[in-house]
Amino acid sequence: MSTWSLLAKQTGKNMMGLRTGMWALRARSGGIMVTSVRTAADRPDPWNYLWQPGPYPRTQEEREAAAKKYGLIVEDYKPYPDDGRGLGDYPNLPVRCMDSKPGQYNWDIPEEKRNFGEPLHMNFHLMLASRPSLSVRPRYTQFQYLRWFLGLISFFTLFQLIAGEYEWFHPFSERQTPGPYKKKFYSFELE
Amino acid sequence: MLKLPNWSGVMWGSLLLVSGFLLMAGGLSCAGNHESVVLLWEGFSQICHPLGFCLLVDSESCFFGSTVCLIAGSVMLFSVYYMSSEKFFYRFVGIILVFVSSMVLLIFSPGLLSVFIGWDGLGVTSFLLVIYFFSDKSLNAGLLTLLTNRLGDIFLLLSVSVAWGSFGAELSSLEGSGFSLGGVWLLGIFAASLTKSAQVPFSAWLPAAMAAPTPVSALVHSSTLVTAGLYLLIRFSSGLSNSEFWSWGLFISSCTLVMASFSSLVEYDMKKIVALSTLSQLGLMGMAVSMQSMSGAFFHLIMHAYFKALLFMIMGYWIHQCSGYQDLRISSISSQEFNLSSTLTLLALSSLSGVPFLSGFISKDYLLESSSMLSSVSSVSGLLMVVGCMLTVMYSGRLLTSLLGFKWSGEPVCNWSENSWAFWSSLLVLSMLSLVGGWWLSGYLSPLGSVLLIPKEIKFVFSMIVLGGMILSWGLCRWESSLTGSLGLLGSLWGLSFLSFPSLAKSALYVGMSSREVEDLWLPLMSSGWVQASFGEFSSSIGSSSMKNYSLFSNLPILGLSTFSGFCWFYTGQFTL
Repeated sequence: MSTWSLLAKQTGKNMMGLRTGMWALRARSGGIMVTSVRTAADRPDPWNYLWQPGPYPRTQEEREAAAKKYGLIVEDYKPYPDDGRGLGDYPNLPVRCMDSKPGQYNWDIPEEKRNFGEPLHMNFHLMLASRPSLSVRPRYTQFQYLRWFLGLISFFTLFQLIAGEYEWFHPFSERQTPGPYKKKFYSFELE
Repeated sequence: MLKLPNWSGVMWGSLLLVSGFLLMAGGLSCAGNHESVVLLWEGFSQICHPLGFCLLVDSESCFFGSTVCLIAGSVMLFSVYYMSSEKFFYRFVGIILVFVSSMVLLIFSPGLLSVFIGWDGLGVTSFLLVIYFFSDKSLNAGLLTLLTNRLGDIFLLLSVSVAWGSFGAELSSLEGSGFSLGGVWLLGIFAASLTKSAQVPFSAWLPAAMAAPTPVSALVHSSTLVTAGLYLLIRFSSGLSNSEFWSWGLFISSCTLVMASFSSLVEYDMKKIVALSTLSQLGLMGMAVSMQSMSGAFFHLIMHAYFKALLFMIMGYWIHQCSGYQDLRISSISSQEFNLSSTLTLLALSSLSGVPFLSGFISKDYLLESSSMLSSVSSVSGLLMVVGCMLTVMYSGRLLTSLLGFKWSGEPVCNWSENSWAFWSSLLVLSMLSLVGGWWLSGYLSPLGSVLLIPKEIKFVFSMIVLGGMILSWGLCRWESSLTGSLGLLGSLWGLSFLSFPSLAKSALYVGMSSREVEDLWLPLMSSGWVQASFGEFSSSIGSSSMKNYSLFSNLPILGLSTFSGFCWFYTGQFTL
């Protein structure tokens, strides 16, 4: 049986700084088997298939294994319904947006307000701090805010419509226009 | 020892200060000689309709330009102290300079097209400055600022499109240019000024924009950007003189004044109090403009810029003293250790309140008296102006007592000394102008030879504003806790912060969350796979509510309105005198 030894790698870096080159193994008999050709096309490493959810858990053992996989206790683990949407055993986590999480807590990943090993929600990208929060309960509802605003504007409008009729003028005296049968303002007599 | 980037701040700050003083000299000369200069360039007349570019140099533009340059120079020196550890200081200086350039272009432009170029530049640079710290909170605030200002940009673009090609459009702001179209053109100017000057219902962005660095707030959100809308109205007032929009403006400004004043009575964030104070002063100036008292509004606009920028920078210093905390309840500084900064705080707040005979008093008194000099004034407007001024004194007194330790509210935390030369040099010019600027410039900014005749009863009321406000301020400090609870939404911008945009965005989020149901269940029944795939991609992009989608939705109306206005221009043709 022939043995193989590794050839000296001919590697370099392209303009993007990514490794390129060829690795090969050579048998003692002189043959060469190219084991891999690495170019820029395989960087970053494909990851999608590694993180796909597993099949929907049907038995209790499968549920426990899935809960352990996602870092949850069995009581907290609840998968999405198996209705053909392809979510498998991914946990159906409660909606808790970033805004409702405390900012002063010492998170492991403070940018995501998440600790190490905490599973991400399926719609995590919709729960970022730069999105409107769906889990924060405001003090008043939107309808109450709108009612307050419109009510105050209406009160102001009414106030200005009613009280605005009372105009204030600079005090002025009667116009001294000459004419027949008018009041005599000045008689041109020497006093 | 300063680093090299900080020296660039010192250099540009000094240059801006020198420019400000030169422009002030130009303004004094123009005001003294009653002259103005129009510089006009025209080109491309052989190949198409002549493209014109105009600059108007008169007393108003010189004074406002000098204000912008002086404040920008002071802010640049202040940022050398405040942002001394900033890694990308060149970027900050660059954006500030672009902002100042846009503002100067807007100030010196008599025509709509060049005004619009400066206007858009202001919107872009103010967004970049608000999101400067690159946090989620600043991004949210920046988006709110951008989208609210974008609404006004659409209306202004509509005005530009309607006016484009009309003879005399380059000089449309000048009296006697014969330029007047009415209708859409007026609406565009009016709506644009409402959004930029944060009048109701577009007021939510101004307190939210306090996520920006304090030097940015001092320059942009106190004195320059927010007053651009009012400046636009003052500039184009000759075309708007017989418009019905003034009555609407009076109503909207009075709402803004009362809303912002009440909100600042119960706010605890230092910067937000000053922002709401700016909002209330903008309402006051808006009321003066709506009552056709342009000189009063302009005078107060200039003086307010100086003492408000000073106040913001002092707030930045106090925030540093409190290790970055902005909450009044946990900041209590011993005024005995910080004599100079306490004095400047007192100066800025007294000027804001209208304490005789500081700059704020002279400008505010002139504004009130010139507004009351009209032939007929609604008693409600006069009453609201007086109430607004008294509320100003109230929240200024509350801020003063909370800051300077008269009201013990927590442990004093201080780790900065009063030794930074950059800090003190930045405050020097603004403090002098807040002290004597009103007295010095009153002869130039108020019409020469004007005699204000008002009855003694009205004068007595104006005189009692400060005293009455101080008494009410004492009562506010005494019973603050019960007032905070009883005001409810009256003290939180009338709920505007919660009504601006979130409902639309939340609807989009719900669509995004549920889009899988739509594309998986309904579309396969109704359409082909291609439509399903396209809709799936589109609905997920809506549901993500990301910034690129905001820009998409903001640009669609712009494109639509531009097309419509181009259509109008094509059919209406050229206008002649």
